[in-house]
Amino acid sequence: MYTISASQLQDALLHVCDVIIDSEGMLTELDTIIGDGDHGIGMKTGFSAMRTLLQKQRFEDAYTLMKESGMMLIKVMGGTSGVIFGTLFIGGLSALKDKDPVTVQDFAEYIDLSTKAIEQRGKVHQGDKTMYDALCAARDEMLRASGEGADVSAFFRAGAEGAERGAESTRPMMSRIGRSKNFRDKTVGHPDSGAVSTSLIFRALADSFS
Amino acid sequence: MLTNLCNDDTVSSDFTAAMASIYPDRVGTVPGSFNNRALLRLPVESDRVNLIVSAGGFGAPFPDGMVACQGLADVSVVGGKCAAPSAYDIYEAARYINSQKGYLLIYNNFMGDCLNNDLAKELMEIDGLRSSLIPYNDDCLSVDPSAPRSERTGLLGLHYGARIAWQMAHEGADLETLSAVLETVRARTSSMNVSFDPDTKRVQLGRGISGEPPRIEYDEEFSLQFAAAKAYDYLLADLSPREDETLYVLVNRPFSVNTEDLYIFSHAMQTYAQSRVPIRRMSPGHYTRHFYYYAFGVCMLSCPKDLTKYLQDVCCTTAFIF
Repeated sequence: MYTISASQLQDALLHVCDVIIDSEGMLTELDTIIGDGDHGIGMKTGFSAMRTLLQKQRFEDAYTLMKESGMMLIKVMGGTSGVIFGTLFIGGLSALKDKDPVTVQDFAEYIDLSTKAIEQRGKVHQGDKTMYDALCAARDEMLRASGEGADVSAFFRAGAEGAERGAESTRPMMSRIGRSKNFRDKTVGHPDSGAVSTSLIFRALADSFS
Repeated sequence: MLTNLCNDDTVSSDFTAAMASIYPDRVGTVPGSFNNRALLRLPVESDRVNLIVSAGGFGAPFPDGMVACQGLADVSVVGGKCAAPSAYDIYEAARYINSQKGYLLIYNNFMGDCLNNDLAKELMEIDGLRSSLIPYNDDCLSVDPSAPRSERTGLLGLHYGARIAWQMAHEGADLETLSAVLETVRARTSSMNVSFDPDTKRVQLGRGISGEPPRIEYDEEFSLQFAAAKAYDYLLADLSPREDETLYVLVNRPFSVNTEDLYIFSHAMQTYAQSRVPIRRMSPGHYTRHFYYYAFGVCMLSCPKDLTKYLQDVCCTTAFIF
């Protein structure tokens, strides 16, 4: 299978919502060590609202599905995570416009554009110890896999493995951005909670398409 | 973490609804709002620049202090528990007021607040609504003292900025003028947290609102008077007041600090200042509620001469006398 329908993507997003909601405690614990402890709460709030939206309404195209999902995160979450994870969903929308079904190449471009939008909006760079480190690793793997002709399953698996590697890479880093940078040396030795959330999203997508 | 007896998921909207119900002639919410997290000062005045203050995760600054009186802000957007207010809530309030004169978006310089106000500005531009972003960066010990001021986060300074700007807006000042004045006021404002560690008996300056370690610690004397003097000296050195400027100070008492200590600390600073650069008005009060340790927030404004007239009247709110 080399294409993704809106219906398949919506079911996958519902699984993403469940995974994030179930991970609230773990994410909060991570963020409490090197931040203000609100990450898990914010993610649960946002993805609970998204799940409600996706349970109420079926979307006929991937563009509208991702747009409405991202806007819901921005509306309800607030905080840094609301804007950044909202941008993850809406930052690359131009790659999905009038595409039905979406090909692996379309989705790779979508993730690439979203990554660039987050870089621009958050003024973030690799090595800052943020979700961007996981996202860049996922993006790189998805671009590579799509270029090598991977099918949908292999494509999302590559993204998940990249994101998990990227999230783990934040463990030895010292925070350089956001409130956690004030915790200085204390941030070393723990992965960034936003990076872990990103890896959970990509792993849940991969599991849905396996 | 903040603790409420109410439901964490709905605490912000429950709060705004309660305020609007209790003071129906003073504050309201946006009809049909998605989140119902913006409190509007009533009556809405669309024929001038409006001030939208959004800051912190629910408790800072107090929305009742900001809008349930005359003279601080037109809208206070409340965040969720431990999260900066959402861009959509800021945008939604602006769209409802629909001022063609523009909006001042005032907030503390934290990443979440900056990102959401940036995005709100973009959404407003799509609807043809003009705005200026005023991130407050008055916490002089939030970063290493050698770092540029732009990297500081905000603490309490926006109270002075909002107060001066709101009165000027009411007099008809345009968006460009107000932005320039607020930038001046912001540059002449400096704040810090002053905390007391009961275990080490140390006075601390610059402990962060999320528990970040203090920048400075003293073990010579564990007293309100000593702490007040050290805070005054540091803020004064940070601002270096010019001869034609006047000092104003507000001292914030979060929930963790008792009222007696608030007034004794404020009086000690006022007394200490008498033989140095005197404080024109000391305003102790309950401005925000963050801190999970024993601490005051202290904010000093070295006010340029031409702006002191906007601070002459006393501003009484449901939260503080300012």
